[in-house]
Amino acid sequence: MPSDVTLFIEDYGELLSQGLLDTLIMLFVSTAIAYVIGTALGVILYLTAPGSLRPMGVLNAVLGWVVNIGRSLPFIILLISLMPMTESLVGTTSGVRGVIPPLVVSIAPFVARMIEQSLAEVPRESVEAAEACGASIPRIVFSALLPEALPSIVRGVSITLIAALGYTAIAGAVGAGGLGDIAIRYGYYRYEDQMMVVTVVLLIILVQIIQSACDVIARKIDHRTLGN
Amino acid sequence: MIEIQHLTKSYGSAADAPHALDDVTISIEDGDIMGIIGMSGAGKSTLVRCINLLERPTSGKVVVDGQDVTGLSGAALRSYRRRVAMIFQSFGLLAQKTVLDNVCFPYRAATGRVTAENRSRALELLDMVGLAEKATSYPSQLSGGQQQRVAIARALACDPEYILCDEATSALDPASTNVILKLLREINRKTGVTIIVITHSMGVVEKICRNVVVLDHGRVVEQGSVDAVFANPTSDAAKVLLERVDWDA
Repeated sequence: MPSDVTLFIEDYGELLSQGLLDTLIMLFVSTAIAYVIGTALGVILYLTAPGSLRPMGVLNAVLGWVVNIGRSLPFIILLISLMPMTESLVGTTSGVRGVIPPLVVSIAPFVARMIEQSLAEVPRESVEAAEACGASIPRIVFSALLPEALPSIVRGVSITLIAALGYTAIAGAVGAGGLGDIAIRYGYYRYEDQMMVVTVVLLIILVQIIQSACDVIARKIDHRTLGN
Repeated sequence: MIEIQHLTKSYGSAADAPHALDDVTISIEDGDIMGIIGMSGAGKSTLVRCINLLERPTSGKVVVDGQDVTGLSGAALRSYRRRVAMIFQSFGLLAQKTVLDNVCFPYRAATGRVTAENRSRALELLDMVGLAEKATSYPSQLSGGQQQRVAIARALACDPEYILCDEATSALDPASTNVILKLLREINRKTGVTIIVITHSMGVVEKICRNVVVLDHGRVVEQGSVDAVFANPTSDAAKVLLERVDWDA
C-alpha cells in the first residue's frame, strides 16, 4: 500500500513542480530585467548626487522622486494599475508573462537604491585616484566603481531576490501561477493544510538557497579581507 | 613650471562665505620638491586638489608651462591630469584589483585597454619600488607602506611631469615614512619629476623638500627655501609647526 507521501506526490507533484518553475521564471526573469534598468538608475543617482562626480541637483532630485514613488506603491496596486501597459507590452495581463512587467517596475527602483548604496560604499579616495589618473566618467564607472562595489552588489542581489519572491507570491493572487498562487488556491480557499505547508516549506528552502549562494559568491569575489 | 595665481576657493555662494584659500600665489619650478605645510584646515589639501582640478577654484588661475589649465574640461582635462599624478593619504588603491592591475590602471584610464607593453612597464615600476614579487597580491595583503609604494608605481605609470603628494606619509609609521620619502627623492633625482608635498609635518619637509610654502587659514604666510625658513621662521604658523614656541604657553 502506497504511503501518504507517495499519494501526495502523485496527486500534487506535477502541480507543485509547475508552480515552482513558474515562480523561478517570474523571479529570475523580472529581477534580471530590473537589474539592467535599476543599475543604470543607481549609477545615475550616484553620479548626480551633490559632491559626486557629476553633480546635477535637478536630475538627481527628479530621479530620486520617481524611484521613491515606484517604491511607495503597494505591489498589488501597481499590478492592477499597470494592466493597460502590460497588455500592450506582452499581449496579456495574466499568467507568468503578464506579471513580469509589473514585477520589473516594482523591483527596478529597489535595485536602483541598492546599487546607489553599494557604489557609495566605495572609498572616496579610490574613486578620486581613478579620476586623478585622467579616467573618463564611463571608465571610472565600468573599470573602477562597479568592480569595486561588486561584492556589495552581490549581497544586494540576495536581498532583492528575496523581496521579489514575496512579490511573485502576491502576483499569484491575480492568477499569475507559481507557488504563491498554489498556496492561495489550495491552502487558503480549499483549506488543504498539507498544500499550504508544502508551498511554504518550498519557499523557505528557496530563500535559504538564494541567501547562501549569494553569500558564498560575495565572499569568494571580495578581496578586501586577508586570504582572498 | 606651475604658477598658481591669486587662487581663491570658497565653499558656498555667499559673499562672506569662508575662504578655504585666499589669494594664494605660488610658483613651483620644474624639478623642485616643494613642500606645502600648514595646520589641519589651513587649506593645503584644497590647494593641491585645485592643481589637478579635483576641485575648481572660485577665482584665480593655475598656469602650467604657460598654459592656463583652470578652465579645462572633457578630454583636455583628462589628458592634463595624466601629466599630473597624485598620491593620497589612504593610498586610493582599488581593493578588488591586483597590485599589477592597480599600477596598470592609468593605461586603462587613458586608452581603455592594457597592452603587454604596459604590463611590462608596470612590472618594471613595481620592481623599482621593491614590490615585483607582490604583483599578483591584492592591496589588503600589503602593509600601509607597501600600499603607498604601489600607489607611487601607479603614479609613475604615465611618466608624469608632476607628482602631487597629499599627506602621503601621514598614515604611515616612521620607518615606512622614511622608505616612502627616500623613494620620492630618488625618483625626483632620476627622472627630474617635480614633486609637491602636502604635509603638516616639518620633519617631512626637512627631509626631502628644497622649498616650502607655509599656509595659514588659506593664506600664504611664509615661503622660501627650506634652509631659510627653518633658520628664521617669521610667521606664527611656521613657529608652531617648527615647535619653536612653548607648547604650554
